[in-house]
Amino acid sequence: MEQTMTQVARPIPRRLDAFTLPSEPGNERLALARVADSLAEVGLPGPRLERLKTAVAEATMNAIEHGNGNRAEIPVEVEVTQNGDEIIVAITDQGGQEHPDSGAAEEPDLLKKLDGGQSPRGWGLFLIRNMVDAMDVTTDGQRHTIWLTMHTGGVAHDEHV
Amino acid sequence: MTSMCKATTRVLPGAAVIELSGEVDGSAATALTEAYQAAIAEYERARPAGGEPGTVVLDFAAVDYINSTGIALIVSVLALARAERTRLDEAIAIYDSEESALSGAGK
Repeated sequence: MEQTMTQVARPIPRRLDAFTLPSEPGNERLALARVADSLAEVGLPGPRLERLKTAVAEATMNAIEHGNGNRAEIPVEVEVTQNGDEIIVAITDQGGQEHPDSGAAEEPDLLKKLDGGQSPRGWGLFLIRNMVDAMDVTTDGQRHTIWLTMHTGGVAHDEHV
Repeated sequence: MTSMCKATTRVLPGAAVIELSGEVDGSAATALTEAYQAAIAEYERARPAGGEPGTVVLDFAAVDYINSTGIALIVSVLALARAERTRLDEAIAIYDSEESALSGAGK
């Protein structure tokens, strides 16, 4: 195991939890609950924790369904890290570049959806983007990871509904 | 940990109220559709001849979980209402309480 030491006065990332889940519909609720447990001590204010939980559930649903095609034997990997005042949740599936999260999804338009011009679905990524402070997507071969970042020192500006 | 979505309907003057409780996710599809149909039917029975078409109020106060699939189901019900009920207000509005929804819709 290779380890490097740096002299920089940056906080050392701390892994709070890492686990896998079978790709079965509904298991996003397990991810949500376990991520919440892992954050019990970090002082994320209640409304921000709820936002992060919603984003984790949506990202895990996408990983289960779109990334791993509901194939239970392919695990969804979840890792929770604290880096200074950042909480980072990484959710990885095996959907590679074909993953719908990788493309430019059409922005949900409520009026179009009501008039049938757009499918009623397609809220997942929209919710995720609007719930967390930052969302990034990376791919490495088949590994497709969505990174959700939330700052513990959240400010009041995003506490409105 | 999980609780099925329940939807009960009641009719007020000028409005049909659908009270939702439990979890609004993919499993709520049948409950939502049936509640909408029941609310419209009850409302039409109670509506005086020549009376105005009413407002449909969805009450989420007792909902403890909703996800993107649940939102899609709600949007489907709203799209159905919009297609079927020509006198529905163009706008769909969100209110903090049932009382403000009813008074807002009455404006």
